[in-house]
Amino acid sequence: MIKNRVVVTGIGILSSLGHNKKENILQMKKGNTGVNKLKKFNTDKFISQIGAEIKEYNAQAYFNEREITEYDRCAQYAIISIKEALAESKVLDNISLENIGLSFGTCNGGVNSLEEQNAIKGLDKKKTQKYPFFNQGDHVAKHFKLGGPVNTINTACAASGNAIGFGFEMVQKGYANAMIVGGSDSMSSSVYAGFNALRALNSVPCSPYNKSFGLSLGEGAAFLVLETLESALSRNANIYAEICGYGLSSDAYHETAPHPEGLGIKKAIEYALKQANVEKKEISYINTHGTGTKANDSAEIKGLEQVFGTERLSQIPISSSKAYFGHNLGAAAAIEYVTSLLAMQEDLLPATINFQEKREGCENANIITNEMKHQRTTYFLCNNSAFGGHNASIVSKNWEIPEGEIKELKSPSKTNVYIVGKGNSTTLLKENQGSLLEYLVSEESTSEFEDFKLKEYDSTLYERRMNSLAQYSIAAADLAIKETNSYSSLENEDIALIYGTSRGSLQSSEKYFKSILQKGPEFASSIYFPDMVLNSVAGKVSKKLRLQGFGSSISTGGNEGLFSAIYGYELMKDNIQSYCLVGAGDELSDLSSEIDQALGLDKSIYPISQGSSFLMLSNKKDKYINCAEITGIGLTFGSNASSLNRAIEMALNNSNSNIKDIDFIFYNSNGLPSDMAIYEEMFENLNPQKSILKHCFNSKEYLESTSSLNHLYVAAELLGNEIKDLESINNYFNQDVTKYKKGIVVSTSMNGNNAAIIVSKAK
Amino acid sequence: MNKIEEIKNIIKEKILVERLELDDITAEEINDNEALFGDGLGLDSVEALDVISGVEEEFDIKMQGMEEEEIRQTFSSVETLSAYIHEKLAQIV
Repeated sequence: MIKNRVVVTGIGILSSLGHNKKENILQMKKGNTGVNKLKKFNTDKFISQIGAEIKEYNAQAYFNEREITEYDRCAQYAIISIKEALAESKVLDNISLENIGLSFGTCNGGVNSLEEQNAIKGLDKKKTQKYPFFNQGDHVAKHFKLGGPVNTINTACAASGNAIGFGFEMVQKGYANAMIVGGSDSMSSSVYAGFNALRALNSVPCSPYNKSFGLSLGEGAAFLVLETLESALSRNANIYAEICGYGLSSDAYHETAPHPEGLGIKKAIEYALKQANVEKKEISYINTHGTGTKANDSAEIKGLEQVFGTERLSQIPISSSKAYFGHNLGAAAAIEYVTSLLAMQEDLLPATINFQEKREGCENANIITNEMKHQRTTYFLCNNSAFGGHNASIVSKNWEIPEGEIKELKSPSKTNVYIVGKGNSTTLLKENQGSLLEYLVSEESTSEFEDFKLKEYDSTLYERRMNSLAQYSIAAADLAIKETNSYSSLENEDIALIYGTSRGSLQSSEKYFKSILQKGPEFASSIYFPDMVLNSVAGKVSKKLRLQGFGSSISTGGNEGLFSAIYGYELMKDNIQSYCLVGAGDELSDLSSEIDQALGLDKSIYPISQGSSFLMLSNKKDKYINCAEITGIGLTFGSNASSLNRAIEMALNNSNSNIKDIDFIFYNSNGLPSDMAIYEEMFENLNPQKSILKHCFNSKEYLESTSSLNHLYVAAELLGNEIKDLESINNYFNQDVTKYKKGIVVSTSMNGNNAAIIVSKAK
Repeated sequence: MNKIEEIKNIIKEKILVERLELDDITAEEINDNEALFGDGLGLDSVEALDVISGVEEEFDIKMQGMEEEEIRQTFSSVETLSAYIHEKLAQIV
C-alpha cells in the first residue's frame, strides 16, 4: 500500500476573536484577547467571572429552524467553520462527497442540550438526541452528506489534535480522498462549574507560563480540509501546510494532572517525529498546550526539555495561544493549529499575550510574549494534553517555504496484524471461563455478571468510586494482556490503547449533574467532574495497567469496538509500536436509559446490557500460535445498504480477497427494524455463496459500543481453534466451523457509520 | 456545633466517608492524627478540593484565598482541620 502525502487546503474558524479567519488573524496581530466578562450564564458564585465566548452569535444567521432544533451548539459551531474551510479549498469541485470523511474532536459533545433541561430524569427526547458525543460528528457528516470515514474523537483537551491525526491517516492510507478534520466545543455552565470546583480558573485573562496561575475557558470550532498533495497540485489548490505525522500517548498517571515530568507529551512528540521522519533539530516552532495552570505549564516544559535538551529548547520559539482564545478544550488543538498556519502565511508566529514575568519552572523556555514574532518557519509542532492523560502532537511543514528536494515517504514493508489476546468481562465470572462464542450462543442467563466487582477480581486494580464501566474495562483489558503474556513477554509501558465508548460512564456523569442540580453550580463535585470526559475510562485503564503507548478514545454511536480495532490495525501496520489493545465498554444507568429512549434504542428486539471486551493486536506473532489475522478494513458513512456494501468492498479490495473466498459474515445489528432492513439489502447486494454462514450474536445481549467488537472476538476464537465444545457449536450453526478460513465482520450504526474487517486464519 | 468532637465526627462521617465514598474504611477507624494525604488515607489533590467544598458546605464557612502551604497544614489530619474549623466558627459567633 502506497502512502500519500497529505496537505491542508482549507481552513475555517469560529472563536471568541472572530467568526472567520480574517477576523481572527487581525485580532491576533493587534494582540487582543477574546477573554472577557462571561454573558452566557451567571458566574457570581464562581472564583472567576470571565471566559472566551463567541461574540454576537446568532444561530438564525446560519441555520433554518429545523437545523437549530436538531443540532447542538457544538455541531452548529462545527458546521459554520467547515463551510468556510470547504469554500476556501473548493475541494467539492473535484472530489465527490462519497469520498470525503470527517474526523471530529470534542471534549463535551452536546452537553448544552442536556444541562439546559435542568434535570436528569424525564428528559425531553428531542433535546436529549442532541447530547451524545457521536451525534456531533454524525449530525455534521449528515448535514454535508459525507460518505467517507466518520469518527468522533473524545480525548478531551487533546481531541482535535487526535482528530487531525486520524484524518491525516485516512487520507495518507487512501481510505478517503479528502477529510474534514478539527474540533468544536461550546461554553457550558456545568463544565465551567467543574473547572471552578477544581480551582483551575484564573480570575484575570489567562497568560500561560506567566506569574499568575489559572486558565480561562473558551468556546469555538476550527476545521481543516485535508487531501493528498497530488490532488491539491492537480487542481491548483492553495496549500497551507503538509502534515508529516502525528503522535499520541497516555500519561497513565492521573485523571486531571499531567505527568509531572511531562513523560506523556514527550512520548507523543517522539512518536510524531518518528512517523513523520523529521529530525528534532528541524523543528523551529512549537505551539504548546500551555493552559496556564500550575500543574500543566512546568510539566509540559519539562517534557519538551526531555525531547529537545535544555539548550536546544531554549533556542526554539514556543508559545501558547490560549491567552488569545482561552482554553477551547476539544477545539483547542484545531484552533491553535489553524491560527498558527494563518500566522505563518505572513511569516509570523502566535504570541502568549498578557505576559508579565515567567513563572518558576519555565525560566529557560523561549516564549514568544505579547507580540507576534517575525520568523519564516518550516517544520513545527502543535501539542495538546488532556484530562485522562491523553496527549497529541502534530508535525507539520509550512508550505510557504520553497522546497528543495521532496522527501519521499518510505513505502511501508508488508506488515501482518494478528489478534494475539482477548478478554471480556462477560465470561469472566463463569466457572469454566469458556469462550465468548460459546456463551453468546448458550442458553445461560446474563444476570450473574451484573454483580461483577473489580475488587474481587484484583483489588490492586480497583480505586474508590470507580464506576462500573471502568471496572469492566480494566478487567477485560487485563485479561487480554494476560493471555498475550502467556506466550510473549510484554512491557506494559509500550502497549497502545484505543478505546471506544459511546457514552462514557453516565453513572459518574449523573452524580456530577446531581451535585449541581441539588446544591448549585458553586458546589459542583470536583471528584466526579473528571469522569465527565469520555476518555476518563481509557485514562483509568491506562493508569491501572501502566499503558503509556499511543492512546485514543472514540465514539461512533454503535460500532465503537470494531472501529477501534480498525484504528489499532492501522497503528500496527505503521510498525512504530508492536502491541495495541483495542476495546470497548458499555454501562447501564438511569441516565443511559433516558438516552436509549431518546435515541429509540429501547425499541431494540435485543436486551440492552453492559460489559467490556478487549482484543490485543500485534504485528508480531509466535510461529507456533494459532490465531486470527486482520487482512483488510473498510470505513464509510451512510445509513443505507449501498454505503455498507461499499465498506465491505473496500475491505475486500484492501485484503486482496474475493467474496467467493468468504466462509462467514458476522454482522452486528442493534435490533431495530431499520437496521435489520439495511443488513438484508446488503446481503442481497453482496450475493455471497449459498453455504455462507451469516450470523448476528446479539440475541442474548446488545451492548452499543462493545457488541461490534464481540463479533470480531468470536471470529478470532473460531479461526484460532479455541472452541472447546466443537460439537455443540457445529450443531448450532449446522456447519463444520473448523473449516473456516476467512470471514467478514461488519457493523453499521444507527446513523450509518459503517465499518468492515476481513479476518482470516493466520498463516 | 462548635464542640471540637462534633466537628471531628462531621469531618469523618459526612465529608470523608460519605462524600468521598471511602468504601474501605469506617468513620470510627479514622484516627484523628492520621495523615489525610500520602501514606494515611491516601487522598489526592482532586479529593482535597472536594474536602474543601465539603467543609464549606457543612460548616458554611469560606476557605477561598488560602495559600497552598496553609491549606497543606490545615488539611494534614482530622485533628488540624477540626482545630481550624473550630477557630473559624468562633470568629463568626
